[in-house]
Amino acid sequence: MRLKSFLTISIILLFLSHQASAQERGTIRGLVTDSTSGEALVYGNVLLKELSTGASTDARGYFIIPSLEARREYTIIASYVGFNSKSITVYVQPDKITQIDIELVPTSVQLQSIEMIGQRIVESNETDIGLQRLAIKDLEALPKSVETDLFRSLQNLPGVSTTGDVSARYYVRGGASNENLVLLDGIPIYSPFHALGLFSAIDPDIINSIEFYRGGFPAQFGGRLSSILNVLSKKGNQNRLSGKVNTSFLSGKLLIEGPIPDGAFYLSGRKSYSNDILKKFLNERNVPADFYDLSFKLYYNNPDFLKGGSFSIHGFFSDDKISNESSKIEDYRLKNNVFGFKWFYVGDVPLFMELGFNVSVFQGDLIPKFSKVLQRNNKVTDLGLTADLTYMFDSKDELGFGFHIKEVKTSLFLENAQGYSGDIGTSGTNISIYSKYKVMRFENFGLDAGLRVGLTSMNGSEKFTERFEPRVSFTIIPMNGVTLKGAWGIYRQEMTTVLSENEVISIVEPWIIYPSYLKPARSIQYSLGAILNLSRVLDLSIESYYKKSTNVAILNPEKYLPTDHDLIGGTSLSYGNEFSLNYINEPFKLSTSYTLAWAYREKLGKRYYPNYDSRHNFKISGEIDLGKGWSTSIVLKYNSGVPFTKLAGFTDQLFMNDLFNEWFQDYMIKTIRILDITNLGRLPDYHRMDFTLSKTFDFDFAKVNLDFSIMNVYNRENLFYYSLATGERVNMLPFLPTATIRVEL
Amino acid sequence: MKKRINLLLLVVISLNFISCEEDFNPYAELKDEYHLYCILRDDTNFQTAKIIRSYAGENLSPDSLTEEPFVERARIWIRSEEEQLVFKEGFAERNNENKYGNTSHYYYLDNFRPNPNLTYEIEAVLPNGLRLTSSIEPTPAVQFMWVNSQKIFPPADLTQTAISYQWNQSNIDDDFQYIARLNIIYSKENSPKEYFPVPFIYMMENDSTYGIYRTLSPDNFISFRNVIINEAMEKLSESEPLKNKFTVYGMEFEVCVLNRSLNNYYQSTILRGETISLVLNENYYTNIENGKGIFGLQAFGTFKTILTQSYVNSFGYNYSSTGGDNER
Repeated sequence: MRLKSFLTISIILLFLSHQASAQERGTIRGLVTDSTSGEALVYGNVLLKELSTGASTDARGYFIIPSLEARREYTIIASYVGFNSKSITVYVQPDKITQIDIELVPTSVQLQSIEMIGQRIVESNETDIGLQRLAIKDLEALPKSVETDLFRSLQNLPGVSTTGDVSARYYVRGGASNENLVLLDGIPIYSPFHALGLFSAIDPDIINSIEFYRGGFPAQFGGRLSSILNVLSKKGNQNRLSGKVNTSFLSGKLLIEGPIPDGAFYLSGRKSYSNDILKKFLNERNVPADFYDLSFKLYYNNPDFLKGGSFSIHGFFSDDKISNESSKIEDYRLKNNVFGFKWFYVGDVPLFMELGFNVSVFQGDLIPKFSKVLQRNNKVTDLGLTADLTYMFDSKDELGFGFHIKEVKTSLFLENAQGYSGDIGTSGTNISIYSKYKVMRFENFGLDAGLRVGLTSMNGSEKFTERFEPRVSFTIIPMNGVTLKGAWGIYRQEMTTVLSENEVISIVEPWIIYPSYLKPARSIQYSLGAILNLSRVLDLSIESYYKKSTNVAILNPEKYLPTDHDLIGGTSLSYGNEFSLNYINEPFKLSTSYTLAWAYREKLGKRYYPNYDSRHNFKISGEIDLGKGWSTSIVLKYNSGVPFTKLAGFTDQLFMNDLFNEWFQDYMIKTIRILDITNLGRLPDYHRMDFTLSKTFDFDFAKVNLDFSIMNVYNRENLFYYSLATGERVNMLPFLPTATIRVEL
Repeated sequence: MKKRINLLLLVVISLNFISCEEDFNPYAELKDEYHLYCILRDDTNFQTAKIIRSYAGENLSPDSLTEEPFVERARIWIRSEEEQLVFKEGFAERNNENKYGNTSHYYYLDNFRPNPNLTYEIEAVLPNGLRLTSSIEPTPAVQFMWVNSQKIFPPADLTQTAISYQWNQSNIDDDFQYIARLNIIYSKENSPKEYFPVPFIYMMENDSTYGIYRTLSPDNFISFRNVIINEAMEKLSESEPLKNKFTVYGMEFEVCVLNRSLNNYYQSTILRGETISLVLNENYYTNIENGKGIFGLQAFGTFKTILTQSYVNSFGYNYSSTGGDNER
């Protein structure tokens, strides 16, 4: 019944919005690209000089300016950070879409930017609270933790926290790390990490743009409660064959890209070759980690074949191994195999359509060999069929509609504490239909109202359950230089990892569909914010959020018997305020952010702070272009101490080494800790400064970039944990100099 | 430019000398916690119990405590539908030394052999008035299935490549766990009898060999390949060229069954830590009310397999038939 109402409302909305115009009108649609590679320039600015209005390019580099008075010329000025602006005169024909392609030429001195791009886009009524758009050069400008890393760069954003240096896992606005969805070209990556979770598995060299939603994400996204990281890969250089070779202390990388008839391709591979640097992250422990990743894309765009359509086939494969020589020490293996096909269509009407088919397979194995570790094998097979349509009306309003069909099969082979083994995996089907309407017709007001309806059949059941996720976000510009934004929405999550909250380093995080005894997690979120353009070079952004989630899957701490459930439903609550101040006055750039946040969890009737709850979080990053190819940047991070459970003493536990012997004779003791109330204590404050110095050499045949970075410049001894066996204090990353070299041909 | 960059690097590097660490105390106030351990065995008349208390370590090191945190002067009763007994307090020399030296304090009963088929309760009243209690349900005694258990080795059937043992009728409703081991009984010259374990399989690693043994399992059946027994017979005297110094008496197969609560406890405490993962908190099973620890029961069974004289002599060992007969 409710589904019927949803469809009816969607059709009425479509009908009402289609207003015929009495005057002769036309539309300009364009694609902005990099002249050197043909790569789309996303979130760039396009200004219509005569009307002092404009648009910004979308995640594919397209822009649309509808409802223009026809039969006249307009001057379009396209601009993008790091490129020379370009001005084009366009004649608009009545009742037609005038298509233009604008190629921008890079400036001779490359502008390094660590501010979010798109901050000064013309369309200031865009409903994008909680969204941070990043370009790859934003990541490259930051000090490197061994090498440029996507997830470690996200940790510099407001509202994103970590539990320390050892993991690239991140926590967004008080949500657990398994509440973050990582999409590569729209395909979920279940284990996006390399080397024990220390680094991101997605090679930055294949990235074109990144959309990171810290909350308030629109109706086209679903499946997670806390954040969406949507990574869009490049098409490949459409103009010439080129390559990049990159080496660091950890891995070597190679990227080849170039044109093919009516299209382009890229092929990228990375392979680890040394573990020495990992030791620094792991307190000098030697972990025999070995990994590689491989990705490719074939892009095809022939105007004579299905006019207006372009195709892409892309794949991403990663394999991480930890292989110990001794048969008494367990091995690990983690693999991602991702494959996708996309058809993108831009027709003669202002309609964008994208159809996709994708497969994402994750396999994580803990191989005990002859150790006492329990076997664990997890496999997730995720098949997806997607259709996303956006129609832009003459009024500039947009109607979005789409469906995502997902068939997920999980298997989790677990040997439990009683020695029994079995598969607790299952399968599920999810059909998500969404519709949203974006009101963009007013210069000082923007609204995005959408509804996502999920029809889910889980755990082999033939019955589909309806789940509604309404989402609303708005933008109001009450006066020049002041923008107010807000969002409200309901979010659901039907998959979770089986992971102990007490594990600070974990290798295999098995994914499962929510078991039948637990309802899927549901979250309700509110956010409000303001952007103040204090001056031409200074912006202040403030965002506040409140997030409450129920049925959050938590590992059952009281599972002793095979019949006990593995998971229990908990609740989580988080709220906070995020402030960020950006100063851009070339050659200086300065970004600061401060987050004041609270996060709570509740399980078995007890409320506690999760181990990533940090009250104060301050980050400052500065970048200076020193000229002549030299640049430097520095980042200082400060987090107030994260929770930990205080030690309330020790006790001796009987450890039965040989069940045939008289236990009191061979009474083996294992010292165990007696713990105080969960996470009531706080670790000392964490702070660290990182620095990088870069030099770019431009030769006729190649561009060579050298980066010298220092992590933890002043060797802050940030506490990681205390060893149970010895009482020894174990600190996080020490002073660590690293270097990378990149050659672009 | 060069000067500016050098100056920048100098400033950054000099920051390294401002290393800082702050004092931090991860201790809360000591939480009083009492653990009662009592594991009854049906193969002996001597039963023991132990009560220990929690303690604070100095400088975050639990090794700083050198005196066993044993709770003295407690009263401990054990009850069944048939009898009620009171434990006595005592101590003994341990087989191995730990941080408290080699003396182990305990409470004991010296004339009590539990019947696995009965329900037992335990109650301990501590000097501070705290009362720790627990109970255990009946556990199956070990009964071998003679037809499926090997009585003589090597088997008369030359095509039989492995020997097997089976005990307690398999019942899918049971969730009892068994641990089993096979030993060769031997002596060297005039020394007492010793047990040499026969593994499931031998593994080679770094030019040395080690055995893999059966762990706790719900299976009530086990097989040992003949070649592994042959290899164990050879390894028994590996370092001794004069094989006739050894006398072999036979083989003994032992099974131990744990009652449910002891099984849960054992499984939750066994050292299973993954070598790389790092877990800070530890949970383990207890069935003691008002405290922690475990009240459990172990039932044992032994099955003897005769080794033929020709087989023993083929390794150069002396043969003795004493100790090779089945007692059950």
